[in-house]
Amino acid sequence: MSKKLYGPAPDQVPTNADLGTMAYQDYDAFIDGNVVSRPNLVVNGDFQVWQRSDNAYTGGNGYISVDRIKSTRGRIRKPNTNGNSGEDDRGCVLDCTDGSVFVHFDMFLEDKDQSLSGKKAVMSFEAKSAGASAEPGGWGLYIDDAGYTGFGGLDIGTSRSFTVVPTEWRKVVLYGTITYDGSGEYFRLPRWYVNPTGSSSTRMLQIDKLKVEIIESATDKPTPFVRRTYAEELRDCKRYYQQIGRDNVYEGRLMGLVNSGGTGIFQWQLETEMRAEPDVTVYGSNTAGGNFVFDTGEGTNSGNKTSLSFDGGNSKGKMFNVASFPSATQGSPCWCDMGTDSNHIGFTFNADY
Amino acid sequence: MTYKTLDRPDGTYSIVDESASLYIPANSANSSYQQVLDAIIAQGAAAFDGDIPADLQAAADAKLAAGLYQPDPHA
Repeated sequence: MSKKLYGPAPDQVPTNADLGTMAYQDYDAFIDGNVVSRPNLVVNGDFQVWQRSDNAYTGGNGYISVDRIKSTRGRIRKPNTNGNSGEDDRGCVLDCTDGSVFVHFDMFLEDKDQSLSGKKAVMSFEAKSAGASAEPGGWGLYIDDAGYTGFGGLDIGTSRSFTVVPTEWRKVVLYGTITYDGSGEYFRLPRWYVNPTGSSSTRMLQIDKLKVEIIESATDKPTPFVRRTYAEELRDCKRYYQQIGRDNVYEGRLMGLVNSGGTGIFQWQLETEMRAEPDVTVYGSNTAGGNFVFDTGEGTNSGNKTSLSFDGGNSKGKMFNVASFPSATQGSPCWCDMGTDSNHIGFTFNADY
Repeated sequence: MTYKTLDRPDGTYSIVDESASLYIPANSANSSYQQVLDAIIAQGAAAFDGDIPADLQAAADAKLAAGLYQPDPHA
């Protein structure tokens, strides 16, 4: 093994005394195994960001709790929630115990201009069986090489099963090629299927450290997962989902102007440019008679959330109208408070796949 | 759910699901827009309050013809 000198900076000339006492250092001792971790294509790979909820179930199909994972009729939750205990406090739990129907969980990765088409990739994650009544002998986690039409997929050739056990984390590694069928600029990872038809019907999968990396050769090994800061993960997650005023917490005052006809016009600048123009859900009371107060200074307009309509925007900002302030002067300011308790409103902006 | 359209200042329109207070851009990259197309394919005119815009119906027809409509196999 070659040795590299670790000593004075190059512009310094060591003296004989230096040379006499300086040790040659093994470079491998300073850089762990000389391994440089490849970039991770996954956002929120260790599931630090849960903007929507810490623990939620859907009987439909969508994003419900942890950022970036889509569920079909499943529960996604933080460890040790929903009445469970004793789980390792990391990663997320994909839980199929509601309704005892098997469910799948998806993640879609953005690939602008399909620039990764045809690239080899390796996907890795850690998995264990979760839940207080987990099957002691473990069970077979089914990884589905699901078909894709209109977008891309990490094609692993065939579906696989891996045994997950409650006693230890096991690393799952899958090799594949990013392949497209259609014009979509995103690809789907192989699906996690969590099947409740085992002996206990309480199967829950805990996963962590999800990583997808581009490799040159099909024999390249996956490199270690590198934890990013919460700030980095949150910023990147907001490309797909943002919310304001949804959690019954006062989050400020939104300013607008009265337009012709007494309509209040508001502009909401998104926190970061999103993947595409988001859809918007308005939160707040729907009570007739009004739980929103929009104030012009010349008077107030009490309405409910149907007084408000989002009628324009793009991936950088959205605008909405409030009807109406018939006595207000055109050009005068108007405002409303953000939050979802009475007299407040909240918005979610969704550009997930 | 029943959708309707809402005109935008730029001459385009948004799609609204009033029951969910949901405002959807008429943009194929938006997943809720794709769900609107799925609803048109599955329910036809019943998916909309009023006439389905011609371009939206055409987009739904194109999605179906291209084999991109994938109803949930486990529903």
